Amino acid sequence: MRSLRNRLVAVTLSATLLVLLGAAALIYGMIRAALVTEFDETLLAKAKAIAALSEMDEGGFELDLTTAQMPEFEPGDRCEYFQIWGEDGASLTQSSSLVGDSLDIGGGSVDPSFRFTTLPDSRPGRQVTLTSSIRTDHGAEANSDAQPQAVVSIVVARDTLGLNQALGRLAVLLGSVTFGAALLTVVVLIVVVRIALKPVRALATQISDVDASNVSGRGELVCSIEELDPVVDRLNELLDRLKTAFAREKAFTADVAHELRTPLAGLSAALEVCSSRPRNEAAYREVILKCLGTTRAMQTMVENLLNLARAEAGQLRFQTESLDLRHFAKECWHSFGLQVAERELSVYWPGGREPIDMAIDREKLRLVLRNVFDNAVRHSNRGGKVTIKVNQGQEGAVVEIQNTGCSLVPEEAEKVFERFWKKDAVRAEGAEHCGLGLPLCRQIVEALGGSIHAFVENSSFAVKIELPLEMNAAI
Amino acid sequence: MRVLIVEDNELLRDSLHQGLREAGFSVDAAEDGTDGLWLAETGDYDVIILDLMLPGIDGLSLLSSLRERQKGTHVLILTAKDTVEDRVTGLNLGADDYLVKPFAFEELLARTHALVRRSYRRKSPKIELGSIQIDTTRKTVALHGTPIGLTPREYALLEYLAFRSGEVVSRTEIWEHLYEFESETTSNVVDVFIKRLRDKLGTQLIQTKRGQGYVLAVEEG
Repeated sequence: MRSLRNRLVAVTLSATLLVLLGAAALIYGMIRAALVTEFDETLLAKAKAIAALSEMDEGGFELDLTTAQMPEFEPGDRCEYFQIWGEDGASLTQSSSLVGDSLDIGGGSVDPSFRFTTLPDSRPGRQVTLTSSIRTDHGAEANSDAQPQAVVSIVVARDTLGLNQALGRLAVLLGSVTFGAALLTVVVLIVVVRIALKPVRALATQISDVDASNVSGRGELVCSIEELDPVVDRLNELLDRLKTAFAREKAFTADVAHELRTPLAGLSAALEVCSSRPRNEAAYREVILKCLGTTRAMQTMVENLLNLARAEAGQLRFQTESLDLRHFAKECWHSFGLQVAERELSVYWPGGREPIDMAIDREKLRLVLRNVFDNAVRHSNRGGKVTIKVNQGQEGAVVEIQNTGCSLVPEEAEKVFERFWKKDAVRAEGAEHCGLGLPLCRQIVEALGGSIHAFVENSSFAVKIELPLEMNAAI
Repeated sequence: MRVLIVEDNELLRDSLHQGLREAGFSVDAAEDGTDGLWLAETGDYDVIILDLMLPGIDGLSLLSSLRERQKGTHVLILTAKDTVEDRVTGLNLGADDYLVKPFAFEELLARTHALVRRSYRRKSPKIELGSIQIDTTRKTVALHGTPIGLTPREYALLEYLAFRSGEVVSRTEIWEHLYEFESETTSNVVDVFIKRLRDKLGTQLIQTKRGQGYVLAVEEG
């Protein structure tokens, strides 16, 4: 059962019923015992009275009882009965209400003994069996040593209709009370639980309409139930993380729009101005080439964006191929020749020449290396130095690229892996920096099972990539 | 008229430079905020076209600095940010106009012209001074209704004098206003162009104020 309310109600109801029924049973038992005891006392009193009125003399048994004294023993409605037996078991006398019938002598280990019985006219009843000494003729005390005792058994029986009626009423009363109390418990419990859980419903309402459009303006969640504090705290933490995530997404979308708009503005202005009047072939050619360059840059940015989105959604597909890392790195570097010459950079490849064999996704590795190389070339100072080291370490391959001319401080080094991060919110010097290259590299390198870090030392910026020789990408 | 472009995207900067120059402006360009600010403070531009995302000093800071130093040059902001807050911030800091990238160059040109007119307090793009009609958007001049052929430089000079008609304009002002930062014009060249204008339009129009400069005066009647 998942409903707290229902569980509470069921358990409490069961417990209440148990207690109430137990109490009712106890009360009933006690009252019944008292009533029966009272009944029995009356029975016994009557039996003793009859014993007192009995006499055994030479003529036999004699009972000095008139109708007027105990009218109940006359035949009639609700009449009572008695019968007396001698020691020998012979019936000595009986009440006139016993017309032709006989009572059961009863008796037992206890004297007097009481038991329920059915009266001769089928009424439910109860009888007492009393063994008593009775007066003998000479007027002497019944238990005088000198005279022989006369002992008789007296049975008096009365119907228990009154008793049963009273007990019936009691049972009904107790039953009603029990039932009523149980019902009340259920109702009260349901109401109380409903009221008590109101703050939970309020909390649910607070949470239910949170979405991207209104999460940033939201205040803290509150709930007046103390036991829910841990839940509310976690929820508030979650909301904060959600706010951050949405803000980041919003910023990312704005950044992407901006990053695409600027080159687009350049393209559109160039083409518009070029076509505003007739020009010579050389002029057209120049504009076309410039536009092509920008288009390529935008293409790279869009590819990076797509790859980044795929990497984050875990949708990158990997294919393993074997390659020689050293050779492959040189191959990737090849296309930067023009930029290197233009920026007058010196390039160093210290280290060994032995091949480093790897099983890895060729195209993803190319993407990573090109991005890191691109970063190094763009951000080094004019006339600066780029150093590329490719080595085999203990746990895999290590590629390190270092460029001079870095204006970052060491603490900022790892920030380059944040999307669109810019130092002082301004684009890095000297480049149309797209801001996605290094974050993308991290996503891919980690998906390939490796790691990538950045360091800043003495105005040099270095990126270190570690990759396992055998790719076991988490796809 | 003289325009300063401060924009770090090379393709855009070069295209705007070419386009504005072909439209008859004298154009200087800076690729970062620091150079841009220096040029804006030292030069006497009619309009500054300012990108917001710049290396060095960013566009809004540049604008603030200019306004703090009471430099009233009209500024047109170019940016890829297009939210209302950005626009409002830019205008509140003292920008005169705002264009979101990418934009049509034609629109930039028209707004630049409008800002120029505004800085000389002229509403109409057409200027009529006596027998001369100048159309500042088409860059044409007519004398008594007959179109007159002027070279771009001649036109630029006439237009400037016309904008400031009635005021005495010194040679230095002419020079600073019409010629680019690195051009090698000297004030003698100004005299040459004044003479050419006089030849084409009639001497009465442009008067010399000895020791002060020139004035384009409109005679009644």
